[in-house]
Amino acid sequence: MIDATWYLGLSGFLFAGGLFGVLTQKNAMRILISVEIMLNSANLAMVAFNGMFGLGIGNLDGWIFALIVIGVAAAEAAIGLAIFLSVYRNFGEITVSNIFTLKEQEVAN
Amino acid sequence: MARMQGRRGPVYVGKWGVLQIPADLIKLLLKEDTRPIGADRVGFFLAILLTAVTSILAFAPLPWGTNQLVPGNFSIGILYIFAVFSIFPPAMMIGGWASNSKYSLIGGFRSAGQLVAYEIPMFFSILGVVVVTGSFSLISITEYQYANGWNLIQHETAFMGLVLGFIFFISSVAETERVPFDIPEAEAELVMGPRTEFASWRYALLMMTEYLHLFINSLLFIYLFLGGYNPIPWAIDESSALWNFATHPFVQFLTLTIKVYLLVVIAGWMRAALARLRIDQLLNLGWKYFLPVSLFALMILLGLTIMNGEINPNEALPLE
Amino acid sequence: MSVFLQFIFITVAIFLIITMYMTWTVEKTMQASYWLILFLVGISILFLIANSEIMFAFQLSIYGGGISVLLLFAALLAQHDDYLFVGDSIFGKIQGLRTQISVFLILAINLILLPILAITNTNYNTENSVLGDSERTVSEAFLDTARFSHQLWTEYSVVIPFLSLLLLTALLGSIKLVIREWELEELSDIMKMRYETKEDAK
Repeated sequence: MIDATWYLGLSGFLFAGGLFGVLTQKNAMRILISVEIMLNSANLAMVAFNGMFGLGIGNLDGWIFALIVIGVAAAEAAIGLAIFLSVYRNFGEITVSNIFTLKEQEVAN
Repeated sequence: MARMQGRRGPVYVGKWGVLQIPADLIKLLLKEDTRPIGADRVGFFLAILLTAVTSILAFAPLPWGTNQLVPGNFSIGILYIFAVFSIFPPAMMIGGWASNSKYSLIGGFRSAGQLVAYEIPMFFSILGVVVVTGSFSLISITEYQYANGWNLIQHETAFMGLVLGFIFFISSVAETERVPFDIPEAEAELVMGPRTEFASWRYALLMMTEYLHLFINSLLFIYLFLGGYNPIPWAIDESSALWNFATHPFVQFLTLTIKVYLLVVIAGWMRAALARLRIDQLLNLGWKYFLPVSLFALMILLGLTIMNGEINPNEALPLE
Repeated sequence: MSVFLQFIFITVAIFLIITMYMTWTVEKTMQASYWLILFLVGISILFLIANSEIMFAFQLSIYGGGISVLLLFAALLAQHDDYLFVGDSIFGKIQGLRTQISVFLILAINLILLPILAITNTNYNTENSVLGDSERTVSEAFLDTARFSHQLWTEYSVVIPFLSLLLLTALLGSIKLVIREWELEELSDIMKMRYETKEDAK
């Protein structure tokens, strides 16, 4: 038997890793990749919670919610990538700190 | 195949040329393992790893008799094979990109486009069989065909089984990149497409993957539509004398072997005789014709089976 | 048998952390994309260990088969010279690798400790807790899959229509975002011959 706390600990660590990636990456594609990491770690926690509270009594809500999260992640990835392609066409790059049209900014390096 | 094309094939190695394949294998393994200069090391390795591993893993839920020789009786038999196969398009794209050559990249794009286009009609055909049977497991599907006859020739469902079987067969030919759908390996145009830069043992593994895919898709067609290890095409009763004959393990094994042999012969026949489709004809066929036809066939199949009373979507499930 | 499963869990966990680290520190976005594909495959193995075979199949086919191809195509089309992550302005004046790693470690340890504390102080049914149950029979596995689909049909019947509408919207929206009209001068000669109308040729 694998203790459920292991699953939750791993899920927390991966979530923190994804958050770290979102906060520090400069390339928009890598930010999207880190968002996918976060969503997957949430799915892992979902399945772990289902195993803790649900499987013994035949309740599979955790799996169904994980399925919803997978579907939402797919839709979000599609739209995000379409936006990145449009931005790439207009700016020639996808580095998030260089993409601004509002005012002149100092680009902090 | 050589005889079908009117030429002499390899007959020197061993009597009648039967030792040609092991000789080719040994030659391939002893060749020099090259790698293009700008090629990405991890990606180059990863493409081969993913394709070879997934094609071997896909053999797990296939039964060779009633509950015998099954490595893993998953509750999601068909879905597992489909899931494992769907790693193949990204692996081909990674291989095409990592080879750092124009032909490989274009071949990778074409391969991914073709494979993704034909995954959907294939999945609808699988869904048709799964809905009628009520289980994903391949053993249950074969048992259902024992009781009700082969799925391909059922007349009760207005021969939708035939339509779906036909779509599944052609989609599986496209999924395994066989002739007439072998654009990614177009030998006269793209020099093996995404597989161009792979050298000795990598090439051997890729060829092994291609033949394994051929076997797996033939086996899937046999299990879903041709009755698996069932030698009798019509429905048989449990108490009749044919039942003992049809469920004898040796008979089942022999039936399966003969069916696989026939399908592989048909695949070789197609390869020898047919020409190649253009990439836009191929994608047209997949998206514009197969997808709506398989969708409508699935809906008609569902409607007819509910009307016949064979499945009832609202029945309560035993909870314990 | 359960020791075997624990060993697999630890191996896959280390694999996941390594792939996550590699997605941050490789040079090109294509490489980051295929490390992500390995990450997704690892997560699906963890689902398989947790006795949910159907989530394993869904994760592999949807993420590993669909979203991976999407990411690979987009990474190829939007490629340019990257450089590794450097201290960004989100941390104000403090820049540098050490601050970032320490922030990460603080976040990670918090996120690990909090759920463990929450769980060990609540009473959950330990006799119903089944993760990595190695003595499960085949019929129980079948029953779980059947229950999953039954719940999707009866209790949670909104899920599939909702997801289909969402994905349809995403599909149409992304096509609309990406599509563009080509000027005739941008096309190559062969494409010009195909799409040129009589008015353009005048």
